[in-house]
Amino acid sequence: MITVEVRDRGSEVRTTKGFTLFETLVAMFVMLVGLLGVTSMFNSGMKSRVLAEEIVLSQELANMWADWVRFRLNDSKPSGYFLHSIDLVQGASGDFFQSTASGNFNADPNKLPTYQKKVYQGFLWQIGPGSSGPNNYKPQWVTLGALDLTNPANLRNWDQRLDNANIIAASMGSAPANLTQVELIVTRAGRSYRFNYVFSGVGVRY
Amino acid sequence: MANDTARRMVISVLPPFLRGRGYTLIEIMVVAAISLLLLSIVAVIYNGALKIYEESQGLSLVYETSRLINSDIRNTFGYVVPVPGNWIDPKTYNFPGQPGMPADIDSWYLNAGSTGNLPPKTGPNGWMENENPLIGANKLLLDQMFSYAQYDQCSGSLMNSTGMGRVAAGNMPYNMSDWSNIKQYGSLRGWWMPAFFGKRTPIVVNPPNYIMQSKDVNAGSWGWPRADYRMNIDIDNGSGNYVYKQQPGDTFPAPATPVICCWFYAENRTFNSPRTMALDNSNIVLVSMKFSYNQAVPNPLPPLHPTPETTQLSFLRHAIVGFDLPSQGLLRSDETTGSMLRAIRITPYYFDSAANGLIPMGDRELNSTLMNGASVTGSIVQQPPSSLPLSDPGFKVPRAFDVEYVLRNPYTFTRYTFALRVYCQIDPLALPVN
Repeated sequence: MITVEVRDRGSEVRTTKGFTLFETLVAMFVMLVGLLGVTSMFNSGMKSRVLAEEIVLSQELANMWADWVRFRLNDSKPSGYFLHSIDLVQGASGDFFQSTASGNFNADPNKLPTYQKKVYQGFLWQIGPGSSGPNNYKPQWVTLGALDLTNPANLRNWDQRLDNANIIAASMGSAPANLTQVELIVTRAGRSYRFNYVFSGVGVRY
Repeated sequence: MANDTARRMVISVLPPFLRGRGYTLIEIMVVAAISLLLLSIVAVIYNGALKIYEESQGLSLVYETSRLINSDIRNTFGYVVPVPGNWIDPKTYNFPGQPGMPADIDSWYLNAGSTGNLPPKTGPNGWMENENPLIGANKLLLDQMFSYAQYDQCSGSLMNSTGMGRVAAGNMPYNMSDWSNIKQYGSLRGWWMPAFFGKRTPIVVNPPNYIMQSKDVNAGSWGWPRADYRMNIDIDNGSGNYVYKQQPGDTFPAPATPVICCWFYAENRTFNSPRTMALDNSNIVLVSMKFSYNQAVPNPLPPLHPTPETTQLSFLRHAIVGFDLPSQGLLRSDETTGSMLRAIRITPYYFDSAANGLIPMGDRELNSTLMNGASVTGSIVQQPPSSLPLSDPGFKVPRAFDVEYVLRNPYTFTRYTFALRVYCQIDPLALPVN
């Protein structure tokens, strides 16, 4: 702020105050920064909105992936087009947009319908570390009186009785193969969305 | 000095409260320029934000709509029993609660006499009548056709007093003559035919004149899964000798290149347990997708032959009571999608056991023209134009569908293509044969 002395006719002296150019520039700069702040917030809002759509898409893709696998999964068929439980291993991966995948997943001669559709660009899938591994998942049960699932003592495998004895009589032969639990990770631009599926190797009848 | 004098003169004419220090021209211009710049920036940012906001509004709509469409398509295609069907009107003697309306009964069921080797449907020994006695093949036929699935064999003797059961051991289950208390002899039967009624297997009835049997798909349980009860086609006939409904005036057998269309039914499973569906339950909503194709014109032209259809894909919702109530498209322009849906393409796949994989049925692809935001319920032009049925002899029954569709952001008109593969959960070819 500067003070200016004004002398007009009659030698009357009056002083007044005003902003220097520098101060004005600083003020405008502050306004600009504030404006950028507002737009930044708007931008964040929009970004979260776009991310919400990304979640929608990843869910749809995960569903389709599970159908894709479930339809092809059949341990009694030759590998190739048919997947086997052993294909559901951690690290298997693919790209929805490019319709490429690792291992036997790539043996489907039909491109995924997402192939070269831009809305699916950048969406990748992989089988994550939270997976059980092939035929390594047994559903477990708890009793009503002990619902604390975090306590391993409460959990029993589906083929175990309450006294931990085998629920399947020896005369019945071996139990069905264990299931395969898959942690499917759908990723886009480094953001991951995780889904869980359980498969049996029985497959759809053909 | 001159400047100072001039400035003093200017200031002197101003009122006292304005007699401050003046700004130089350059100062004013700089400030004005900066102001202008800032205003422009604000305007640009605001404009951009507005566009982004609009885009995002539209995009949300697009994505959410896509999700709804996917859900509908999954429901429709995923829980279907895709079978080659025939286009006929749903008619029978009596709909539940309705008076007899023989004029509306499809002639296929009424085709009396002995055209070809078809047993008579009316008159003495007719399938549809309570003529007594029915003997031999016709009796068995009738029992299978109308009685088999509806009543439990084990309770037959217990139900004798109602007329619904067996009279004596040794009779065929559900002997036709045991139904006499329901209708008088010579009258028409008065109940709805089971979803799958079972005349098949050319034991006596030759040439192979198959109808899908009750046993084939959940034994006419009224429940899920169930295909169109109106079809008269045997899908598990290995020779591919499908027999189609005769049109009035046709001679038997049906034309060598019969024209069929394919019906898909998906039921709203929210309402229905697979085992408890009842036809008079008005809560039941069927969603059907119908593919039909240009019909070949039979020769000779039957007198009541329907107008040849153009290929179309219809999403219909039926209440089963009354069937074919005014259809409501799932993807109507005035409801879900606005003018967003621009095109849709559906590619069926059949499973080739030799190749052990799904093979696209490209020549049966349904491909819409660019739609003007109208309802999907309507004509979709098949490209290339073809009269090929969706399912053809040789077991090419669709097992999966690739669905692509284009949604348009209603604000920015940007188009987004979505895609989905749906696998049918039921394989009719894998179902047990007798």
